[in-house]
Amino acid sequence: MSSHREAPEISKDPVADNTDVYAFVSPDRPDSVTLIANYIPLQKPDGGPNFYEFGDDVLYEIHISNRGDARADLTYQFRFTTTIRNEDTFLYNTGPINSITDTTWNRPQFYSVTRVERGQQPHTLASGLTVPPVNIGPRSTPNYAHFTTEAVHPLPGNRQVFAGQRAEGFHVDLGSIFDLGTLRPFEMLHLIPSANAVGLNGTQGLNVHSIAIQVPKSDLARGSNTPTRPLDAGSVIGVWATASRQKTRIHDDDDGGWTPFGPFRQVSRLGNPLFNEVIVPMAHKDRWNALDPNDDKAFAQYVTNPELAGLLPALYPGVFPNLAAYAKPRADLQAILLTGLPAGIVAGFQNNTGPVLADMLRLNLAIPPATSPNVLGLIGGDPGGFPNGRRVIDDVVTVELRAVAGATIPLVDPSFTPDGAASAVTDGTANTNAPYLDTFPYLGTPAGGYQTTPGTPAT
Amino acid sequence: MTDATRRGFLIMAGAGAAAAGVAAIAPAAGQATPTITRSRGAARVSSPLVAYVRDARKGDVSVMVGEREVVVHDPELVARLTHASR
Repeated sequence: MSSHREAPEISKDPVADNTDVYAFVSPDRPDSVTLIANYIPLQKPDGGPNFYEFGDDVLYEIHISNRGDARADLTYQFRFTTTIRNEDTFLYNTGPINSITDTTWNRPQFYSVTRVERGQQPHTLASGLTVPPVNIGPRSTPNYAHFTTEAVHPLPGNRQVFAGQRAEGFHVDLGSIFDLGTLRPFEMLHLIPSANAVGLNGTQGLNVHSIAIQVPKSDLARGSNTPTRPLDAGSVIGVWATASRQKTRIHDDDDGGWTPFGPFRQVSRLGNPLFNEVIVPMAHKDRWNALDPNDDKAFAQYVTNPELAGLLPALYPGVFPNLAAYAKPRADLQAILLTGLPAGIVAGFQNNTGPVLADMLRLNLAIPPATSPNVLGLIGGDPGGFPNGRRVIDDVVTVELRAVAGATIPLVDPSFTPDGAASAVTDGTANTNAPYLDTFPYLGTPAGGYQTTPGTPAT
Repeated sequence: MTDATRRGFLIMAGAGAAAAGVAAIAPAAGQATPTITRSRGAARVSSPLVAYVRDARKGDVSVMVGEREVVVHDPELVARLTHASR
């Protein structure tokens, strides 16, 4: 998946597990950028009585690099505090929760937002902001959608923020793709064949926890400018998110909890979707999660010679002959994932951040939102989408499958002819989760616990 | 022995166990931890702390208080912690 349970260590620590990052020019407010970092993967909505929540002991951060060295020039930090209102009940809520401030919510969570500029002292923008409760069901959290509006908090500087549960916006056929790279629409062609089928969205009906912040473009761009010329180097920013925990913790026998000690150490990182998931070898994934993008040169070999590009011709014999014969380093993938595309490859477009090899989402702030967005983004002729940043609607699984399959090689090597399958390959899923919103925070209303239909019987 | 003192002792004893080679925690790249040589001055610590010895042969003790970490070079202290863990 994009980055759900993508590395051995973080798969055991879901509260700190960064699953997806989005960065896009806000379609309804094009003078601003929306940054979203999702955590806590694969939430089954009926997973009570202790429902999902951010970690009080986790430092959540969204980083922006705007001067080309893949180091954070600006970081937004988010810290959470959870309280218990009634210590004499096991209930998450002692009655219907009609507002995010209702005292019937027994375990409210609050947070602070701090802005850190490179070389400057941290500046707290707000504290005591309320997180909405999770979507439990019509008796506990009636008319859930209104909680979203209540939980969008204005911040100084024409910014706004939301933190709380959302519907998963990412779709992928989990069950098939991890079964030896099966793509249901093409199962007949697999090395171990079966009848073709329709893709099944493995994240359907599941939730995540999102941190979303919308800020003016000038808040992020180099020199506090509002970029208007797409080909200017200063129009491009790099974006990634992280989660960090303190270096150690001690179990407290008195209350059964844990007390953290020491400085924060990064345990989760995410820029481009699927980078750590399917590019970095398993033995190095935990280390990758602890590093900064500036250190990614050590992983470039896995981008320019990706394991998945070798697996496709082996798993689908005869389907990818041109890909199988291509022996050059994958400069196209290096450009897409590690440097951004330079000018001259796609007319009027670039999202290059210079020679430093680093996994970041790269967003050209001067590209306006598309009036008719294409979920395939740039390879679908829509420069407003992935890999120019990432919108919630972007079908990044299909885009990256096709890129790895060779569809983007001609961008840098016109002598290569992609296999016919490269422009057709897909996992066959569509977004069958809750509909996206037209306004901030854009990800859909989370699925409710009561409304959840249990999965199919085990076979 | 008060609870606070007892807890501090147990934490220190736990650090001694770490010195016996139970676990390793490596600092993340680019995040330096200040190293100081032990001062003989009287210490005043109002908060709980954790002392961690990664490699007793180096004589370094990593002391973590709140969100801070200081590495103290004190072979004598390391030797005493190691001895206490036996």
